[in-house]
Amino acid sequence: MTRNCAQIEDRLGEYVDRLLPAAERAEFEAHTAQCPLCSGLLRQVRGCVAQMHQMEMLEAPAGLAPAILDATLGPRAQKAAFWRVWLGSLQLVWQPRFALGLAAAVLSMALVLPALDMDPRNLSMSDLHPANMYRAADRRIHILYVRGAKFINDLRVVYEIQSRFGGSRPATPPEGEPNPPQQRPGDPRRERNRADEIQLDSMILASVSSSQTERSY
Amino acid sequence: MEADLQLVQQCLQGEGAAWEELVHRHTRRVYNLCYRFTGNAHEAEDMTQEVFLKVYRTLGSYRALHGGFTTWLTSVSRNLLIDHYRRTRKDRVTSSLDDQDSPAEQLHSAARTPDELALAGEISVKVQRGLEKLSPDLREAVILRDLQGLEYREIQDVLGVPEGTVKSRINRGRIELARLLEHMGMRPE
Repeated sequence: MTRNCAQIEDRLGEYVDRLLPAAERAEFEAHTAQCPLCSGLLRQVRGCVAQMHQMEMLEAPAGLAPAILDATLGPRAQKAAFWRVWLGSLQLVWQPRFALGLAAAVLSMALVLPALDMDPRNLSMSDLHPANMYRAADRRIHILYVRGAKFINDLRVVYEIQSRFGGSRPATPPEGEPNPPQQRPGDPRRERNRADEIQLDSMILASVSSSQTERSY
Repeated sequence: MEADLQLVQQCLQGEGAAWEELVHRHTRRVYNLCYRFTGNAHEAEDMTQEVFLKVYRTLGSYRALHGGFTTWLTSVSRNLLIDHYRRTRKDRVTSSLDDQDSPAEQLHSAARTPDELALAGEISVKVQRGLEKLSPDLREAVILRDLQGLEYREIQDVLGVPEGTVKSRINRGRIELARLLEHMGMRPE
């Protein structure tokens, strides 16, 4: 049995949706292969369906769901929805890539600012200007250099004094010599030696404290 | 389906969070159905609210045996849309094919590249205008089948008409729309 154009038109939708049984499908295809009107209509309908399938779903307005919840559950739902929207907006910040970048930036600032002798609590925008950061770094390097040089000079003086005073006084008596006689308390020679030691200690202490004072500046 | 049924049961036990989840899951679908049927963003928004208010009030009447929650929700939406169509029939002014894009279409197009915008935007607007020229019976059948992706059986449940009527409406709706689109200068691919 061959089908006429009206019957083909009636089956068009089912054919496009692949709902026709195999036998009817074969008859449909046999007819459209010979009939330019029906094949043209089939092409039109297929194109129309394809165009509708290309249409994406529209986004609902942002306030629609909260408005529905407000109308059904009351203001509490609206408040919850507000927090949902607010927390949702933070999802961008919560991404691991962003968090790692933020941590790296904080770490860099934590290392750079103390090195430049800047206090993060009293930081101003002008401190972050490249020229000011360069000046701060230059000043910091010079201070470190001067303190280092001063410290080495102080050490040299201390060791020189120690070697000068300590070298003339043997630590142990040479072998074969009798032990020096025990000095009684109140012996003038012992008192003089003690005074020399105190004087030496005060000089060392003075030189060390002066170097520390310089460093603190 | 299972998740929806569970949410409905939790809603009926008075859990507000379940209702909130149900609203968030289905707002977009209902809004699209309303927009494609009315062709107006503000009306679609109002209708979507109305649909969910009705669903909230009548959730107890939903029975899983009568089909999936989506089908039931679509059925409620369709009934309200038809009521709205009948109420506003006298006030409706037939829109011109040269009308400016509606806000919803502009919003929809905003996230796409200019080329896609030009192509998809033009197709979307013309198909929408074509849909608005179909009779409500054919329009709803085509929207449910080709834009909402429902099966014939589900459309039968939503519309409450025999299977043959569903097939006939979808078929006639597509043919009329295809001819309208050709009239507007859109050639089949």
